[in-house]
Parts: sequence; C-alpha cells; structure tokens
Amino acid sequence: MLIKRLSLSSRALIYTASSMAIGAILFFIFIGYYEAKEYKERLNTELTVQSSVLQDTISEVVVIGDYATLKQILQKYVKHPDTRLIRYTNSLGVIIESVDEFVEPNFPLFFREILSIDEVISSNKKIVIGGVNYGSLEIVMDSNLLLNTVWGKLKRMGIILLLMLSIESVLLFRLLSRGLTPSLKALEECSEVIGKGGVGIRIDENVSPEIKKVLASFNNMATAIAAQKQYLEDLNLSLEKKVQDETLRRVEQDRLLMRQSRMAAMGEMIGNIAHQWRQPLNALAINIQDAKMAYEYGEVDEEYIENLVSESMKLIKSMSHTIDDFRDFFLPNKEKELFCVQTACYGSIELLNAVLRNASIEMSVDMPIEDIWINGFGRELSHVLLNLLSNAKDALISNAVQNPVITIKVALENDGVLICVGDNGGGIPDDILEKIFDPYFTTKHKAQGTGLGLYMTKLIVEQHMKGYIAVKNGENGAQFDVKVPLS
Amino acid sequence: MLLKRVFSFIIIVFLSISFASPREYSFGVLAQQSAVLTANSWNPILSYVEKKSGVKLVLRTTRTGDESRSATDKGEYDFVYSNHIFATPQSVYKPILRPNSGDISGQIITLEGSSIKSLKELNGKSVGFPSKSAFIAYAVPSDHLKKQKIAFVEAFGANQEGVMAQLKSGNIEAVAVNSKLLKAYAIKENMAYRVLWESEKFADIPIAAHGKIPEAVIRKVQETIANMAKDPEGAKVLEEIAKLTKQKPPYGFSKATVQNYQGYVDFYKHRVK
Repeated sequence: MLIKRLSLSSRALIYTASSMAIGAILFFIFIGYYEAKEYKERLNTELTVQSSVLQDTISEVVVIGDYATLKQILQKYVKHPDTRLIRYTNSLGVIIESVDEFVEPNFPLFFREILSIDEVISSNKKIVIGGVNYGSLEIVMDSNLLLNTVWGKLKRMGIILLLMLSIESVLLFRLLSRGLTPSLKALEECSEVIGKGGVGIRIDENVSPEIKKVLASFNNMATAIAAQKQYLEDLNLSLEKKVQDETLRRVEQDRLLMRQSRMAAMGEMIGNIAHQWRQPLNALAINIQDAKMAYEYGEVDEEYIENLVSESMKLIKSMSHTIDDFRDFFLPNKEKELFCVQTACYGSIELLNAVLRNASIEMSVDMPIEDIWINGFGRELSHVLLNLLSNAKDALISNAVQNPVITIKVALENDGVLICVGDNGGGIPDDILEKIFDPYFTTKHKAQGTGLGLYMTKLIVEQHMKGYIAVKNGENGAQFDVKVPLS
Repeated sequence: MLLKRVFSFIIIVFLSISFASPREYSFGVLAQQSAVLTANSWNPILSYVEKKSGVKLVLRTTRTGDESRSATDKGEYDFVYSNHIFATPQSVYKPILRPNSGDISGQIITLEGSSIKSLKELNGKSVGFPSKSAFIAYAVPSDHLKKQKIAFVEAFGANQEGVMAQLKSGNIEAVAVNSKLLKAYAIKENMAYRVLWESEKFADIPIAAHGKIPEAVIRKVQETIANMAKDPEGAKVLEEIAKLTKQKPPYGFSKATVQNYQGYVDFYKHRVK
C-alpha cells in the first residue's frame, strides 16, 4: 500500500533494486553451486589421483618393508592443501599414518548444506602386488578449504555486484527523476486539462528522443481530440436543429391529423345526427301537414292545438337531446373519472343505433351483468368503440353482407377489461392486416374514409389509456381486441 | 586330581598345536629390479608354492643389491634367490634350484648410437654397475676391465634396472649388466644397444636354502618349484610372469646342487682384488 504512494521514480528504483537483488541472489546460488560442483569434482579427482600416485609411490617401500621411508612419504603427501589424513595399514594390522590439521570453516554452515558437500571425502584402497595383499591405503580430504575458497570468491563477487547494483540503481533513479518524471508530470497535467475540455494545450517536446516520440504522439492525440470535439460539437448543433425541425414537423403533422380527424368525426357526427333527426323531422312534417288539413276541415280546437304542440315539443326535445348526446360524446376528458364500461359501450351503440337500424345491421352484445368500473377516460373509450363500430358497419354495408351482425363482447381479464368488437363482413385481407393502424391507410372510398380513424384509435388506446389494441381475422370477419387497465 | 591335571595339559598342548600359526619362511630376492616388479614376479610363485606344498614363503627384498648382499651374508633369509652366496666361502646357503632359462653372462654395453666402439675407449670414462655386490654385472666385468688395464670410473645405479635406465637416459655412456635382464629390459623399453664385451657363461642365479631349514621343508619347496613348469597351473603362473618381465622360454626351475655353480666358486678364487 505504502509503495503506491511513492513517486514513479522511487517505485522504479525499489522495483529495480529488488529485481536486481533477487537476480543477484539467484546468480550467487547458481555460481556458488557450479563453483562448488567444480571444486567438488576437482577434489574427487585429486583424491583419485593422489590415491593412485601414492599407492604407486609407496608400493616399493611397502614391498621392502621400509616403514621409515613410508612415514616420510606419507608426511610429504599429507601436506597437500586438501589432504588431512593418510593412513597405511599393513596386512598384520600395523598402522602408519600421517595427519594434518583440519582447516577451520570460514563460511556459514548452511552453505555446506545448500551445496550438499560432505565435510570429508575419503578413499580406501587395498595394495595388492603379485596377488599378495600388502595392506591398505586410506586418504581423507576435507572440503573446508574448498568451501572457504568458494565462499570467499562469492563474497568478493557479491561486494562488486552490490556496488554495481547501487551505481545502476542511482543512475536509473537519476534517469527517471530527471528524464522521465517531468515528462510524465507534464503528460499528467495536460491530460487533466484535456479531460476538462482544454484541448488546446500542448507539451514541450524538447526532451530525449524516446520520450519525445511519446510526447509528440500525445500532442497528436490532443490535436485529434480537438478536431474530433469540434466535429462532434458541429454535429451536435446540426442534430439539435434536425431534431427541433423534426419535432416541429411531427407536432404540425399531429395537429393536422387531429384537425383532419376532428373534421372527419364532425362529418360523421353530422351524418349520425341527420339519421337521428330524420324520423322526428318526418313526424314534425306530418304534424304540420296535419295541422293545415285540420284547419281546412275545421278540426282545429284547443285540444288539438294542445296535442300538436305537446307532440311537436316532444319531437323537438328529442332532437335537442340528440345534439346534446353527440356534443357530450365528442368532448374530450381532461381528467380521469370513474366510469362503467357497459354504459360506455351502450352509449356508443346508441349513437349509431339509427344508422345500424337503417342498414338492417343486427347488434349482438355479450356483457357481464355486474358493472365493470374503470378509473380512466370514459368518453375516449366510447370514441374508440364508436370508431370500431362505425368501421364494422361500413365494411358490412360495403361488402353487402347478408344478415350483417356486429358483436360486442366485454370481459374482465386479470387487471383489465377486454372489449372485442367483431363483424361478419369477411375480414381484412392478410396483406394489409399489419398496415391497418398506419395513418392515412384506408380501404374505403376516398369520399368515405380519411385513413386516420384506426390510427387515432390506436393512439388513444395506447398513449392515453395505456392499453393495447390488436386486430385479427375471425371465422366470418375481422375482430378488434381492445384491452384497457382498470386504473 | 592328578588325572585331571594331565588331561588339562594334553588339551592345552593339543589346542596350542591346532591354533598355532603355520610357520612362515622368508624368501629373499636379490634386488635387480624395482621392488614392485620383484614382487609382481615372485609373489605368484610363492603363492603357488604355499598352495601346492603348504609351505608359506614371504617375499623379502631390498632397494639395492648391496642391501641384498648384506642380508644374505647375515643369513637373514630362510630361502634366497641370489648369487651372492658364492662370494663368501662360509655361506650358510646351499643352492637347491636353478632357472631353466640357461646360463647368463655379464656384458658391457653402450647405446647403439654411442661413439664408443671398444672397451679401450672406456679408458678414463665412467662405467655403470648395479652395485658392488653384483656378481655377473659387477664382479665379472670389473675384473675383466682391470685385467685389461682399463682405468675406468665406477658408477652405481642401485640395481640392474636402475643402471640400464641411467644408460638409456644418457647419464652414463657404458654399463655392465646381466645379459638376460638386459635382453628383457631392451624389449620392454625398446632400447637398442651395442655389446662391447661379453663374459664367459655362468649358471643363472640360484634359489638357495638356509642350512637351518628342515630338510623336509626344503624338499617340499624344491619339488614344488621344480615341477611348476610341468603343472598346467604352475606353467600358467610362469607364463604370466614372463609376459611381465619379457622373459623368453623355457620358464621355471630345475633342481640344482653346488656343483652346478662351480664357475662362481672358481671365479672368486681367481678374481683381481
């Protein structure tokens, strides 16, 4: 953790020194091992050679039995640096030996363990001449001198290596602190400035060639970022304008659509009112004609006038009520209200009742007895149903269907109400089924349709009422499923 | 009680006889070669004798011929392979075997490339000998040189092999040696030489037995060594030794008496003092 707080050059110094120290230790172990191995082999060779040479040398005196000379020879040979003991034992067990002082170890004892070298190595050879045993010759060598030499060598190398490492570390630290760190600091500062949007800043490239490349690359990057930023800003401005234009266009289009839709609805309303009014108008006309004829035949009296006025006023009130109904129907809800689904459905049917009756279209209604209440926009649901019923009516009339029937089925389903409006008009061709909710798409004659009815219906269901509307072809005709949430 | 003591004494005597080490007999060999070569040449023969006859012979040798002669003169060895025994009229040794390889002679030689072509040219020069105690390589040739009035300077190389090595290395121009050993050495060391003079023939060095040795032991040793060349096992041992010493057949020894060495006796009677 502490090391992370240090500067880059200090960390580099620590890392370099550590890695060099590890390398040096490994180097020492490696060198020490091979040096010791080489010395060990040399010691073994020396032992073998000395044993062989000494055996040849003493054979002469051993055969003669000149043990005084033998003793002198052994004393001479034991002076060999690594040799510590030479012992001749004749065939009768008489021992003649020469011993030298063992060398004191000047190395830590673990060093011997690491190198797995025994403290002493020895050879014991029988002296047989002409098939006769003249005794044996034992030579013991100790490895302390060898290990003292290797240890001393390693110590000297260690001091030199440590010195070299120290110099190298200092040089590296100097190089980093003077050569690299200022450049990195400049890079850091520039990066911070660029990060805050100041893309105009550049670093002084008057440094070493390697760092210069990095800094030049950084400056190039900063230039590229500046250019890219400018491009993005321009693009942003352009896109913003495009979005604004498109939004305005869409708003204008929606306004136009709404106006067209309203005009269409208005036309439809007028048509419906006309249908509703046709019968009371006829009745009023008959009443007026009847009044004229009654006057000509002298049948006009007070009672007649009372009846005429009463009946005519009833008709006029009915007509006025029709207007109120249509006006209320097309007034949009501004706030949610609790309304009964069945009432909304019957309201829509009632508005079209005259037209449907005129076209001999039968209405089949399947609704639950218990009222279903929704907290939402009741008039808008009526408007949706009116559109669907109107379209069904148009399809049945247009296709001249025998025994035309429109069905309305209402059912409570999970957390919403499913209203299915179907007919037996033969259905919608499959190739246009997916386009049916697109704006300006119509299958009707231009005089009849605007292509906005179902588009507006979908908008009302999905955006205002947070429900969904789907269309499919049933057995005899099209079926629209409208599902709206209960609240 | 008495019976018990007698019985114990019998047991002690029996055990002493049973567990006593068999007696060893020393076998001295005249120092003509290095002690190691001597041991390699003689130990197999002595081992063979012990194996066949049960008589244990232990090799004894010295560094120089003088030491060998000294030991022989003192009668230190039980058996001896030496011709020094003839130098003293009162020698305790009697020859029992002689080599089958024939007689030997003393030779005065130089290297083949030497400028010395005759004995007269040795006048005033050094002549190498193995030792003063050597018979065929000192007593015989020096006697001849003295009789020829050649004033030479004596130089000694400890033994035959030593003096031949001196010649080969060029330290000395002429040496006196045993003809048989010279032949073997020349083959072994690939040395070419020129013979300036050769003595009359003498019987080769005998194996002699000390007078104190029981006759039965002497007979066993004599019989075993004399029959060695006829026994396949013994012949094989002799062949191996011959390979080592570069000797030529016939190998082995034959029985001998002092009569076979009358030449030595006669020589010592007439030599120049």
